[in-house]
Amino acid sequence: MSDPVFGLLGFAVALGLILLRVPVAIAMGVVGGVGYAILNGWNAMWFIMGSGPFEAVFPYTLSVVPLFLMMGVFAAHAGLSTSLFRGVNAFMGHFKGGLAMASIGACAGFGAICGSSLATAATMCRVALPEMRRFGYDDRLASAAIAAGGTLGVLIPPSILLVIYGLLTEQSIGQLFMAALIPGALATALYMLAVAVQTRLNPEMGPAAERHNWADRGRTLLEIWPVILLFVLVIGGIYAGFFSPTEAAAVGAFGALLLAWLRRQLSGRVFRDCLIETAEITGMIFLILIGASVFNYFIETTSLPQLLIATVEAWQLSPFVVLILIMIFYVVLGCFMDSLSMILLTVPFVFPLVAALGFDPIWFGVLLVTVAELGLITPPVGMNLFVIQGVAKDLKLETIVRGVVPFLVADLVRLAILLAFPGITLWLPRLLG
Amino acid sequence: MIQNIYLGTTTAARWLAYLGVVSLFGAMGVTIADIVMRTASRIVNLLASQSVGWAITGVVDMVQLLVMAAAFLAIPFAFLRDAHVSVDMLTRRFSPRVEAVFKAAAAFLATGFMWVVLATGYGQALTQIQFGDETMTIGIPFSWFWAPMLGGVGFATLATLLLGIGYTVQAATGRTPFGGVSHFPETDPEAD
Repeated sequence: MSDPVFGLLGFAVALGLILLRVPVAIAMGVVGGVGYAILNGWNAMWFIMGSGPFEAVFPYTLSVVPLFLMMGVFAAHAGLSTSLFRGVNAFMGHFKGGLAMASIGACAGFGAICGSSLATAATMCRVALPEMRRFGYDDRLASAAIAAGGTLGVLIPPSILLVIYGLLTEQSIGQLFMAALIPGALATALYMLAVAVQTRLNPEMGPAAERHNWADRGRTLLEIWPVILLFVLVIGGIYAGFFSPTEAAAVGAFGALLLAWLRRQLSGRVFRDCLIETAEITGMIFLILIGASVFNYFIETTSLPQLLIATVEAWQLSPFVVLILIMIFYVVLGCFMDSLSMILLTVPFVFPLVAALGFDPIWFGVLLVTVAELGLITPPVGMNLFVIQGVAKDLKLETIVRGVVPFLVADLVRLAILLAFPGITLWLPRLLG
Repeated sequence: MIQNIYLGTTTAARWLAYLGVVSLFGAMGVTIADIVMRTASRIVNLLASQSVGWAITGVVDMVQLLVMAAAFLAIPFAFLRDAHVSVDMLTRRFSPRVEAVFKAAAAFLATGFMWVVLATGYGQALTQIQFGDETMTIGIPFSWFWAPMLGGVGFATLATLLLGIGYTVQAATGRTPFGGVSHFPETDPEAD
């Protein structure tokens, strides 16, 4: 068996172990270690198993990940989601489906200070779902709007997935953040359009709520200034050259902590919950990074990326067709894997192919995160669907899945637009250098 | 006996995780202090004629050490809270006892992986300590970086071993292991 074929076999075995409930990090680490040992001998494996995990966690640039995570955790507990929902609702709630649109708008705003999709969906579900139910919204529309809106958290900067993609492929995190801004706004607009179309076809799905006067609107806007301030401080600080991404993450984490405290949301119990949540997510992400580092040693040894490039050249397919095939591969894989694991497992052999085809790595990063978002709301492993069901326990999973279909269509339309017009993604990073 | 070991491990893992998050607070604090000092220098340089360069020396080394501690000390806790990402799409279709077989196998596989990382890491740590390696800027000994890694991985090895034993007991008997103590909610047949 040739080395690249052995690499493919290793990838299949890792996927098989993951489907048998082995933690993703352990599946990647075990397959990577054993595969490396078979190809290079046990002594070589012994060396990389000692140094690989150390070097996977050591780089300073990686500090940005747990600090942005901490920012997200404190932001989720600071009560900002309620203010955001009230703010957007004051302007949109009186339209048909307006509360669902307000949920999506609030998710986008919350995503701007919290890089986690799950935290965005869970937090917004507690705030917006009861309100939509109070006004007689169809459960399908109400739950799916939040599940889909939650995915905006992984695209709109600061996004943990974009940070990890940037670290893996040595791309500028600042450029990736800037590139994701317009696609994030496009996603928000298309989700709102999906709500508008549904309520136009079936007005009973989302009745109009009461109209707010301008005084109310002004008051609610005043409530969301901390969110805007935190976003401008973190993202603006990176672009103005005040902070490196790590420093911005530290400032963001401190800002979110301060906001939670100033808003009197940080009781002893909530603070302890924040610590526990931060520890859980930090441990989870770093173990995946460790497993992925060992797996990457194996994949590099197999020359699998070179085989993929040679195969594509031999088939003489147009680069764009190859890119579409890669996107289809990710959409299918996203149905069965969580987004972070999917990116860490596949980028080592997909990225060299994409780079060899001459595609812009920043553009590809945004496309990758866009398809990863799709995986968050596609069954059977759509994490956001489970999060919504976990918060609203009386909701059936089937209800949320049925409701999410129009939003999946919106996602596919967005993916097609981003594929067809790379300028949408690349205009802002090029403009700002 | 094993129940006490399990309880002791879960308690220790929780405190290690808290220590890890405190390290993260440390990383945040050092970074912000450095930004504040640099900003103050800029202001002073702008307003006064004198030139100052206030900053924290070795902030990168310190942040690396603190984040390393946060990452590795949180890993055993994440195992015990079942927070590591796994896919139960297929295994949840089986009965709780059969599902426990899969969970036990996964836990023992994790034990094997963590043990190999511990054993090989220990060897490399000893080598670096013998050579007296230090960081470039402020000379933090590399043993300080290896300590949280080996501690966290060691605890994770123990935690996964205990989880494996617990799931094996559940698969064999159908009962919740370790006398039904907390932190083992997923093995409760009622919960399944």
